[in-house]
Amino acid sequence: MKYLEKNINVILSIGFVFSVFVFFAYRFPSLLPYQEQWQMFMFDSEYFNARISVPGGLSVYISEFFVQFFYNSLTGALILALLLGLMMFLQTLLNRHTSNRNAAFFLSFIPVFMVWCLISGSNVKVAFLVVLIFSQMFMLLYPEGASLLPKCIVMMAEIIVLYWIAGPAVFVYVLYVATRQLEHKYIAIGAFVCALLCVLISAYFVPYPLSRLFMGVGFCSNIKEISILYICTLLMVGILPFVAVFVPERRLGFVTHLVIGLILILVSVFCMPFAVDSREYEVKEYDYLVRTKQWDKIVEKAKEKNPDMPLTVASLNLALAMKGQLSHAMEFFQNGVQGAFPRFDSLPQSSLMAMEIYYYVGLVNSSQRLAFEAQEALPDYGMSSRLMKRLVETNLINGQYEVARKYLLLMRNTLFYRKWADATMALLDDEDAISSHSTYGYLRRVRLNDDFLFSDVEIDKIMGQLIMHDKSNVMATQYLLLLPQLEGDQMKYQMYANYILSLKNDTISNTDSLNVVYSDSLN
Amino acid sequence: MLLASCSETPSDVKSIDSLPPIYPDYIGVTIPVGIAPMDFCVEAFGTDSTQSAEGVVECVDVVVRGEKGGEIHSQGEFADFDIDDWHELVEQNKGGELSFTVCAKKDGEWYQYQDFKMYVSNYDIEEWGLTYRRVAPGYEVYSEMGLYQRCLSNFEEYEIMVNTRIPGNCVNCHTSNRTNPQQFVFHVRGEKPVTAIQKEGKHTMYSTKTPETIGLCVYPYWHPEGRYLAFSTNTTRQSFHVVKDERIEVFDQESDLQILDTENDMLILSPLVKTADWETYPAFSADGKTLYFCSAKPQNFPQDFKQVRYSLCSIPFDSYSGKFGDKVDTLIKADPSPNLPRGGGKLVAIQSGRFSPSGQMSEGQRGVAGASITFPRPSYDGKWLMFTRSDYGCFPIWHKEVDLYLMNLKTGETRPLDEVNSDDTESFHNWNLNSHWFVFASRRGDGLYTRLYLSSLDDEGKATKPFLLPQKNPKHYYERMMQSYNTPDFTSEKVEFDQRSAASEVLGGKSTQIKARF
Repeated sequence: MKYLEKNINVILSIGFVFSVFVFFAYRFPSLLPYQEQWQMFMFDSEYFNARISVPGGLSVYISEFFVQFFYNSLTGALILALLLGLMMFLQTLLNRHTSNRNAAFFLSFIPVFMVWCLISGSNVKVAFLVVLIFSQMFMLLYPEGASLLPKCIVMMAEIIVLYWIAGPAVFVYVLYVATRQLEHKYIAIGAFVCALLCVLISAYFVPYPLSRLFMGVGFCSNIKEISILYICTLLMVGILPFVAVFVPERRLGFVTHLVIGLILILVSVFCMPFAVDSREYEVKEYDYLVRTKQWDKIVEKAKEKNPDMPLTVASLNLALAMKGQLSHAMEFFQNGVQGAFPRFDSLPQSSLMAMEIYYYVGLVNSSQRLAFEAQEALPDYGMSSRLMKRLVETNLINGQYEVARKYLLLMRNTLFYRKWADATMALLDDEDAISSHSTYGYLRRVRLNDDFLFSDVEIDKIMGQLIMHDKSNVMATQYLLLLPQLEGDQMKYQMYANYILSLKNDTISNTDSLNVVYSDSLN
Repeated sequence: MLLASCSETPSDVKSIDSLPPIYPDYIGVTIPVGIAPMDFCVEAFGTDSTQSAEGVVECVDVVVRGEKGGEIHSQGEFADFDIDDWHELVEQNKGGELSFTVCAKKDGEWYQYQDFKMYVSNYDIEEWGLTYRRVAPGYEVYSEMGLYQRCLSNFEEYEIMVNTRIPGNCVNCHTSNRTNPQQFVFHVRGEKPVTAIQKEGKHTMYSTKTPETIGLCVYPYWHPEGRYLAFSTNTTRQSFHVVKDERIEVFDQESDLQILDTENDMLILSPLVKTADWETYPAFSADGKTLYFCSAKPQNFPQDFKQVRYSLCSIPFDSYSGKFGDKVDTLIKADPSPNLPRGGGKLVAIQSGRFSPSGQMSEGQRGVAGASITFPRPSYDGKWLMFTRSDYGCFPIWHKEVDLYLMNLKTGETRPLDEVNSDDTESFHNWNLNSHWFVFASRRGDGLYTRLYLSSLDDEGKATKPFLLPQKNPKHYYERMMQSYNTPDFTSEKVEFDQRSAASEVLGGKSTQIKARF
């Protein structure tokens, strides 16, 4: 019991870490792989140099190193839980100035909850958590008890180093110093001026506008969508140690401490799901299932809850088509033609889904285009492992081996895609191997040979071209028949159905069984 | 470890009876004095004709001997020459040749190839370096990109303007006046489109859309006197091919020409170059009295996109009065339709026989008949005009069949530049001031990522084998580079441009509105 009493905070922290782990690993398992797919961490000097050449870059680099493990939701959840646990531990240490030991621990939950909440959304990246951890570490290193001159020297050195490591999060440190040195206002002013100068001077050397440097480069996907919570979290980390001092001294008993701690954990477990936008998450879930080709699961999921957004409906339709069951699509809610072929709107998410559909119907060029567009649309100017993989595949299918080789060489520098890159490298220049490959060979056969310009408003005609080119293209056949149904054009449907019947081709008229064979080969 | 094992004198060297498989292909190229070291690497090779090219080259040993004296040596993972020694050797051998003896170590054994040569040109590149844009070869969305400059005598690259400073915008079409960056223009496109014109160290942001014109100023070219800037104005769209060897089709739905008088911020228009036809890609002649441009009959998109053919035309321009001439000549009538020459001018080139009095077309002239001509670039000595030839369309970089052609402006003789053309795309090009060197963009490397090549042209118009812009550790550099180089140009000196103030002006929406007059 004494052991428990002594280590109650450790036990509660483990409980907290465990609850974070469960949240990301089991409650929302698609969140982390979704984040991972938008980056491609590489173990090479160029990648490292590109990151550390901007303020905050080292934190971004470290966070991207961690995020690559999000490839698997279990390892991702474990890493994220440990990082949040570390943040909580550091915050507890920072709150040490309070005479109320219980409060020091319980208050540390607040900023960690806030970060957890932010990272569960779509905009804020893990880099934000890493910069806060670095800020906390530097705050702990602040030599508060030292005499004035050494204190000032160390403080300035810390500000300069921290600025380069954590970017504008240096102001969290400044806030901490200011609140710890209320009696020496000039130290606070000096710290603020020093941090400000760091930002202003860096603007001469790094190619970003000042506004961007103040908000941080690489901490979130879209700085225009930075929330109040984001700002409040930064403030909270810096100001909480000061607030903690004012908490009245009161020693809690072991049981009370345990109960409050458990309540905080339980509250977080029950409240945190509300931080996840359920509709956004639904898109991510479907996206993950499409990425991992879990067609059966998609259909099962749709049966539980009818998808009603263009991207989720498109995922369902793709899954049905892959199973040879797209004729059953109208049993589910549909979303117009957008639910079959989401229109490109320069957002990476919508490009991603259209990219998948075009790929499987045999529009290799269009899939490649959308993969490239999605990569260009990434807000941090980075590369995406998933998109890079698709670029390799489409270049391979199109016989653009030198470009495919270029991308594969990059992917060889990754941890989780190296094996795939090595295996795919063996296919380069090997026409026979590609032709006999279940997916690449098939797509090479069904892709179009007669040129025309793609038009997404005439997608049904393009499906028709695909069928005319290769009558075994059952994916195109299914989509051809689906499109007029989505438009409510019975006459067109009849016309297309008659055309399909006129082909008098077993492969077409008996689509269901063949589709299964086809989708098996693609899997 | 590799470097440590790479400090040895090649011993027990076995001979290989072939030229070394080096990247980039610098064998037999002609280089100017002052060029950066032509570093190269040796690719994996088979030790005899029966072996496939595989394995790792552990070490490369290269000795370079000058015909007129001098010798340098490099040993390492790749041939990496000391920059001072290199410059000294090349200068010492101006007009002569350099002989490269290459040994490579593989599986612990040294192999020596046949020696190869590089030739040192008598023609200098007096310019400081190159300017270019680096951008991913994408479709509609653009990511990080920028205008850069590169010193030709070393490997240093500097920013001119990068779009990370102006998020959501792109930068393009940078052009200096006859390689002089004291007069420099480029566009910013995005939420707040402007045209930045820098003259004598001071830049001004212009808003170039006027009620009289189609849209913003697009493809620029300076008048040699520096007062005027010719622009096209285009409504540009793009579509996407569905077959494997084609990707993008960029096309205009309308386009005209206009000249900006930078002294009174006025666009000068002419009904002769503001017609229902599509006029684009203006370029002034060396004396500034003629404006070359390309012109096509409108076609319906998307069905007739392969029917678009741009002819090479010209119109006089009087810089004293700031007026266009009153006729348009057609130098190469690419459009196969039997229509008469446009604008009351004459058909002066292929069909007219002016440049071919016998009426017989040369091979080169036959090559451009019925094709589409773009990017006319007259040499600054007034002797040549280089352009690209494609089967159709106005945006050659996405056409694999595109080649560079050279027209002798005195005789009209036109020929493909076979010395520099490849099976892949050759596209945008520019001359240096003495017009004995030109730089061009080509996709011959991997078929997608455009790289820059330099070649020399002698007095008879004969070009030398081009060489890829040198880089330190070029194989790694170009493999890792995820952007294309485009719109290259020479620059006589380093471009001085205040990016920060320009960016704040763009983001702040500051610009000068120009007017237009006929």
